[in-house]
Amino acid sequence: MSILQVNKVTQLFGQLAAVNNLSFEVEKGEIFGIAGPNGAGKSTLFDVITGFYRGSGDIIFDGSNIIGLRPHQICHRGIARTFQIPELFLTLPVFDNVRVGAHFGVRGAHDERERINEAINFVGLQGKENIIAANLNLFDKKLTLLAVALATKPKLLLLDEPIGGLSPTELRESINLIQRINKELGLTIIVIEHLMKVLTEISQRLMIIHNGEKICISSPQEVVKDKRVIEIYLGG
Amino acid sequence: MKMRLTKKLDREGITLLVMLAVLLLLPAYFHGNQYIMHILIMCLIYSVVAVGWDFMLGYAGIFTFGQFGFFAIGAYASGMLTLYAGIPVPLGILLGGLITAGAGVLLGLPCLRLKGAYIALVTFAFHLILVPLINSDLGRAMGTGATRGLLSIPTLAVGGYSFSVVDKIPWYYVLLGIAFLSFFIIYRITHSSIGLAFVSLRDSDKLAKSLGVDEFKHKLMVFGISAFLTGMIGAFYAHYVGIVSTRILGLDIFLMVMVMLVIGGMGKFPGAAIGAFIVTFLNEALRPTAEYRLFIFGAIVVAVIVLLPGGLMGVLFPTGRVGPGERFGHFIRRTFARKPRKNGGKELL
Amino acid sequence: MTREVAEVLISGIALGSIYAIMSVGMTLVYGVSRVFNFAYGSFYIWGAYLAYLLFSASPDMSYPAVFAIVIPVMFLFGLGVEKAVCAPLRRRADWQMLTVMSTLGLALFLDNAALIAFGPHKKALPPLLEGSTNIAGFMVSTHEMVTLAIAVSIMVGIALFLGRVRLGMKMRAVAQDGVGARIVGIQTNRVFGYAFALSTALAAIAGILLAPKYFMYPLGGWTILIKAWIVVAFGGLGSVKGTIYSAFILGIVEALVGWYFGLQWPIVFWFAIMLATLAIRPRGLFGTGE
Repeated sequence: MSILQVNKVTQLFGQLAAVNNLSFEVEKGEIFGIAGPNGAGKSTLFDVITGFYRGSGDIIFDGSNIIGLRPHQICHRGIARTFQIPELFLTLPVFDNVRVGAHFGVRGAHDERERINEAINFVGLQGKENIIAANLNLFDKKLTLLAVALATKPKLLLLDEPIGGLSPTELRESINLIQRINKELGLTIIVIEHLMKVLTEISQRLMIIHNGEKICISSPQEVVKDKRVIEIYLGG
Repeated sequence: MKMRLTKKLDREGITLLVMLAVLLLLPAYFHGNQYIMHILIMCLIYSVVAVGWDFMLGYAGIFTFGQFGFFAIGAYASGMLTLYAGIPVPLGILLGGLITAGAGVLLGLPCLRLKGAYIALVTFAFHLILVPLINSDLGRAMGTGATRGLLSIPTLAVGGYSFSVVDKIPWYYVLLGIAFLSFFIIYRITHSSIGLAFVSLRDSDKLAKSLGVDEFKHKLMVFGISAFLTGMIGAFYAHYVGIVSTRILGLDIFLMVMVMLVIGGMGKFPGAAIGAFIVTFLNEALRPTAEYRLFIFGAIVVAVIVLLPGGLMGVLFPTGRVGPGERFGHFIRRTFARKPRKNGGKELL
Repeated sequence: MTREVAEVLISGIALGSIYAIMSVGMTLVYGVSRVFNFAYGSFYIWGAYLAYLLFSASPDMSYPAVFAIVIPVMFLFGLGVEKAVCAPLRRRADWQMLTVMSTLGLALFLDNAALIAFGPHKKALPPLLEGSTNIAGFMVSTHEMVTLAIAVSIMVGIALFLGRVRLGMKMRAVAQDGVGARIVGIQTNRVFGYAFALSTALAAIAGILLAPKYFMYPLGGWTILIKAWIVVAFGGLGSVKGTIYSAFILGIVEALVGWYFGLQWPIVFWFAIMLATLAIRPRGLFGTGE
């Protein structure tokens, strides 16, 4: 059953098509990977899905078309995301960062406190609730960003290059965490990464994008062998 | 969550309580001195303007320069309503505040999609346009008094008691009450989830929006709240002074209140209020220097920002990054509050 | 009638060229370092006042000599200001707001320094060249023609600078991607400093060129700041091309509106045009993303 359908979505910046007539589907409960050379339009795709840009085409999430909705409305529908360069509320402590997600991400709920603590504990930041976000190291910042997104109780999680700049141990921890989010919390996850090794390990299916266009979409093993993909990464 | 809030309660709440205590007692010493009482009353009025401005600028992170536009609208609205329509003054003041709130929301609408410097431009344009508008034939027809100004504005009268311009004490206490009511409103907002929304939009609007914070709704709320408080105090000003003219939209007062924010500490409530008192008195103290006054003010502003970017509040309650002046303060504090060191029993006295 | 209109148009073009010089500095500084310099008007005025000082000291001085002195002085002054007032603040998260305030304080300081030094009365500078020239049958003030020529040369100079000279290309790199620029080894702090210094010098030049027509008084910088601001916002903050287009469009608008409706109306038209444009294109005509 597909949770997200992207239908012929195009996002233009002037003459440049950052996302070009892109169509794909994501199955509920899977980890869906997206890869492609730099500047291929991956982050822009996330921006369009979450409503920061209004592209043309349709995006069907959980049965309804979300194109044209504003970011906060899309959050309320159940899509959360992280950012490639960790954006956080730097003047606030970790707890309050997560609180923003918990309070504003879910309408009319009364279990704010539980959700905050749940999210913080799940990513492993317990004990660091009172540290001001600006003083965190990169890994903890990424964990906080994750906790913040989880506190909104999403159904679909978009991860934008979550493991850039991490040490091997941190990398391993991140991969475990992502898989736990998928298995234990039941979230569908779309991951953008350019470390192919990681993507092939965690994703059920993988899509390669180049110049905003879909090049190939299949299981990781198939994709890696695809002639076009090899050409993009090694040739031309 | 409660832990964090308690810390904040200490900083802002304590400052407010200390201020209140001091201000309550001041008339005991100065009640005979009309001049000082008047200065104190102006301090209270400016402190609300400054806090309202800082609420938008320092706290919510919106680059606005329209604060005195709000002040003027509130003053003229209440002045005109009470003068021409015979509306009782307390009601006029309230209406002045509400009308200004409406104007604030209207001003906020075009600013919703704009970034930083553009909002500054639009709000500054708003301020600048008011002057020719008030002085124009249209303004004259509406009764603004154009260049002559709005004169003979009725004084504050509550339940038969009429505030006289000579007896400053009642004015002082009423304005003290209004000022602290305003501070209390802002205090409650900054400690509520609405305040959290404002801060989140300030620190990272992209993240905030992706977490469900409605940017437009909250931006308009900031405009409305700040406009209401500033318009209301503008109305009080009109009834206290009895005259309103486009002088209140002058560049010199504008810059002076800006200095209040800087010296108090931007974004660090209620620094702007403290700044209001400091700057107003500094301004009076420097009057004898005639044309050197603003020159000195300018130098002070630059020096304070570069050396003490957190303002007075940044010195009293330092957090995180510090400027050279604050570092010096730290050093002094450490030097004079040294505990005995445990290095081989050698103590530094 | 059409003859008059043509003369007004030429005047507008000349005016546009001045606005271009005046505003390119602001857009450059903003594009490179995201700094909004509120003291810009004060730099403008002080350029004119410095020239005034030089002319008072030696009335026979030629304009080229005046420029040769004022430009380097203002450039160095800009460097100093940037180092003392802008650079220390950059480390803080709220640096943009603080820089706005500090430059405002600086403006207060400089304006009143001028007031103390030169008094409140308007002063004038002699025109670059006296008289009028005959261009294609129209009589236009020679001064305006010369300023137009100077302005165009400066525009070309800046275009070449940004396109060919190392420092100019570095500025473009930093404007596009500050972090990336640092990664490839560009010393961004120095680039910020030079951009600021360059904009200061440009403001001063504009001040000298406009003074013969509009006189100088200590608070005269504020109208200039607001005008430059509008020109830049209309054209698109950070876009040199946008600023130049905007400057000429608005210059012509001012000349026409001022001639037809009266001198207090151009600014209203400017605001109206700008607000209308921002409603459709929130980043101005050619504005780039933040």
